Amino acid sequence: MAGKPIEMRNKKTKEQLENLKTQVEETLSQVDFVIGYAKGYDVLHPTPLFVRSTKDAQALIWDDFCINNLATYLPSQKRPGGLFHPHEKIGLVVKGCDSRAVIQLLQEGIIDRENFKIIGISCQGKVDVKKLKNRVPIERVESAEIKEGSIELTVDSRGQKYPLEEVLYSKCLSCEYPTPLIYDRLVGGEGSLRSKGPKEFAQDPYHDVEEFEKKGVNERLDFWEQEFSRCLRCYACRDICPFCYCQFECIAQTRIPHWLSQKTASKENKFFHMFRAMHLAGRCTECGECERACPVDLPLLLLHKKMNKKVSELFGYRSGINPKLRPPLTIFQPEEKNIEEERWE
Amino acid sequence: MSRGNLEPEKEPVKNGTPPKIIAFLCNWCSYVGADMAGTTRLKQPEGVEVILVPCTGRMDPLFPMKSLVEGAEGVLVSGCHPGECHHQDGNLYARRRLEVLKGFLPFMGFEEERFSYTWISASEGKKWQQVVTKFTERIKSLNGKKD
Repeated sequence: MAGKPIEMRNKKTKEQLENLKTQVEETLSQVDFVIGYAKGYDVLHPTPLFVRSTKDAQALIWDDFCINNLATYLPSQKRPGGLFHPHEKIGLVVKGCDSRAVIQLLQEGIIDRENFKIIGISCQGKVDVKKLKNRVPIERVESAEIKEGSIELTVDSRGQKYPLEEVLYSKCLSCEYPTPLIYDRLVGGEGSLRSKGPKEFAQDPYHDVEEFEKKGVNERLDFWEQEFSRCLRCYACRDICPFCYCQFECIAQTRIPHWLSQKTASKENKFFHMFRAMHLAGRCTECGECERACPVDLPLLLLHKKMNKKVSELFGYRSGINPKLRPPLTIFQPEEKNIEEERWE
Repeated sequence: MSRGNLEPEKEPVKNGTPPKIIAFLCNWCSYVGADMAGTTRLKQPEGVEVILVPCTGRMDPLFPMKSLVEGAEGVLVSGCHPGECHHQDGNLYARRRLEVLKGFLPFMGFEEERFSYTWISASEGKKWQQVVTKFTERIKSLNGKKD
């Protein structure tokens, strides 16, 4: 991997943070609070920060672990009894992938554009803590820094080094929109290092789906059977999803209609994840928060990517790109070009 | 025949036991068509459970999904021909949703052939008979392969 862009990467991240702080402070005059990132309980887990004053803004951070999709907070704005006071205006720090979630929410009419400001920030890929977990005891990591194409960790005061492409999020390896698609202010300038594209990162976004499709049907059945037998049905995947905003009306928990029992057997779990995938068909922006939030590491994104792949094959539609388009499953064409019906002859 | 792993072991299908098939039929066309097949005494396969829906536009993709997860061996949906919907365009919405579902089911480990949808009008009793016979045969041969 070329060393130079990565060196620049470090410098850029630090510059971005200074720029971000100024932008957040300026935005504070227009909104009630800005949601950004702060240091969490260790270096690997940044946590969302609600900035209400310039003093708070000093606690902002921007590093290689700021993965949370803050757009998840937005649907709360219009909801009675939500997290915020209904008239509060929100400022939001969004990465490229998160901006697709904002666009999708706008498209669905869940949020009003005049009620929030977006501080876009160009992203160069984030480090997947779950991938690190397989390599080091993450609770003993003291510091982490990216240098020359690899991540350098200090674990129990000893240095360890891993190549970047092994520890970045899979979604980052196939990232198409490192710069937000929608913003009021932009940090980091148009086109980050990544969008100019060191080719060694480039990966087909649906390569894992295609690989899985090659397996036999019984193998697939067994795979999901096994995976879903681990599911606790804690609903963390649903609660963190920006598009699962049904709250108490989520059919996973309603008694009328009673779609699903509370049993956590593989069958019920499977149905839960299948209908969640169905409900997110053509809406999911593949931010991967469900997978990150999952306490038992289910490969949930695989389901949602499959759905999106199907929707894009059938209707040529991708979610979270254009707020003016209608969601594909709420419209129709009298003649569907890509649908081939069975002839029964 | 169950598909969940905590369910009791499935019994081997005896020769001649009809497969469990759920058919969702539109009130305004396919249901009447299937009824006509009955009144004209056309021979139909056993084991097909018909569920009446007011329109294929009412077809939540979750209906077939849940049927399959709960152990149905095949699900067939039938409505009015495109352009002839009693409610104008319900079947056109349904076509998109069911097609997405059809692409998704094999990914979850259900054979592609276990779910299908078609258009049958009220006067096509004969077509209903052909479709349902073919579909049942298909499910039977699938089950045969498994055992």
